[in-house]
Amino acid sequence: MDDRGQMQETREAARSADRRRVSWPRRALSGRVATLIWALRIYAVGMLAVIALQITRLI
Amino acid sequence: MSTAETPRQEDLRRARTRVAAARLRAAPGGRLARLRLFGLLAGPGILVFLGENDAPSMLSYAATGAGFGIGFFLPFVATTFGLGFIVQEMAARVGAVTSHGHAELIFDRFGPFWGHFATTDLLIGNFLTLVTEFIGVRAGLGFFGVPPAIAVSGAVALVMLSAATARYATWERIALGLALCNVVFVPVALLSRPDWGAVGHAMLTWSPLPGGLRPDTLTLMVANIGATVTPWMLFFHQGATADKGLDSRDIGALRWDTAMGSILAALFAIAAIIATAPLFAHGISAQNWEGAQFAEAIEPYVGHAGAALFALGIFEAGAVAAITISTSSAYAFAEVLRKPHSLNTPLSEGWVFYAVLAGSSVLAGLIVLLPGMPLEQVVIIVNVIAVLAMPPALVFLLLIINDPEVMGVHRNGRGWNIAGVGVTALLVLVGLAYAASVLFPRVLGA
Repeated sequence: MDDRGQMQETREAARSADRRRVSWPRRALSGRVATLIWALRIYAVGMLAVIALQITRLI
Repeated sequence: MSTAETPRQEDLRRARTRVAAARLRAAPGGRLARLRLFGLLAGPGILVFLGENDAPSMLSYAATGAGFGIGFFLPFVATTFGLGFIVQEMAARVGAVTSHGHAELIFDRFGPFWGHFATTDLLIGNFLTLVTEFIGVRAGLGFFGVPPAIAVSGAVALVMLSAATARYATWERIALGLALCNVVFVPVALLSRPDWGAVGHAMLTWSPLPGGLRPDTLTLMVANIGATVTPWMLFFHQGATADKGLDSRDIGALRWDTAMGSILAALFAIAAIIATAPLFAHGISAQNWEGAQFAEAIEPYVGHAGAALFALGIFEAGAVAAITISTSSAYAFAEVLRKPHSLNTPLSEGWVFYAVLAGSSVLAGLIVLLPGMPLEQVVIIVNVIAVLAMPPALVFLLLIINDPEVMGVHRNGRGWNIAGVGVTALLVLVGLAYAASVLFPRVLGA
């Protein structure tokens, strides 16, 4: 690889390392999103119960 | 946001892909250069869809063809791949823009509870699915007289060897090479000498469901949806896109990659339904069959070569999915533990990632070899669990992809949001209908 290619590769590697280390802070939830998350909790618990019931019937 | 740190091996390997892509973008040569660029960037989308044409999915399609023929389910299955494209395009876009996996982003933006919930949910679902992949491997190779222990340990070795290369590009080539063998279902379908007029009519008119909607047909419909829209695909596609080093410049290529994957997988799934449709025409019941039994049953209609190809297809489907699903578990687990999570990481550095990948395969393989395990029941329940577990994963995907701090200008437009919310709502409705059929089986006439 030529010098220019080597430099480009070094730059891209540094960029990849930067992108890997980025992190986002925890999001402040609006009222609507908080409600959605609660609905998700109820859905998750309900579906777990359904799956458990189905598994006990199959076994 | 960043600190000075020596790039890791994974960064150096991604840099090589980026430099190669930049050169191809700058090269004159028009169509050929664009094709080579697509060849370099494509992979995760094709792999995720062909990986999801896994052993339980292909067996679901085979059971569908044998139980209901082609009238209702050909257009139904084609539609589910359209839904799959909508979801996977969003997952790949988030991976390219953020360079982070799905579990990692949920953890960051919604806190440890949902991060752990999503990962645990995924790991349990993935583990059960892995068990079914090895059932497929065992059943497929069983047709050729290969003992179960050799078939399963061979597939486990394949999973471990492909990851042991510690190079994403090599791993992807091995997995893609195997995944494209999913095409074997096409010659089997051709050997069954289908009535192409009836196939065309089925695709265009969407006939009603034979026998109406019953709990067993609802389970099969849910299983067919679970064969194209599942949580592991979302986690895998986002993780692989980031691991390959793709970024927002590659979104166009990623979209084509995803579209190509969904079209190929739909074709092969439809071929599996057509291949077993003669069983429906001759009134042969195929409930709870394994791969080898399907292969033996269709032999009078497709010949020995066709039956052998079908069995080989079930083996291939199981082996490829074992590779992709174990990788998806490894991405998610290492992401939430904040450990290195790349197929470009050396084994010594990424041992947690590789331990999950290898450990889940070994354990699933051992379960398949244990005598007396209710394996058929596991196959039926796996795709159903996938559908029931999908809405939470999709809701988080939609929240992340609409998050301007994370996605910037690449967040969803109105069209993608309508499609994404539509798919989520449909999955919730299907999940609720399934729950109702379990809780109140008499409503659907069981």
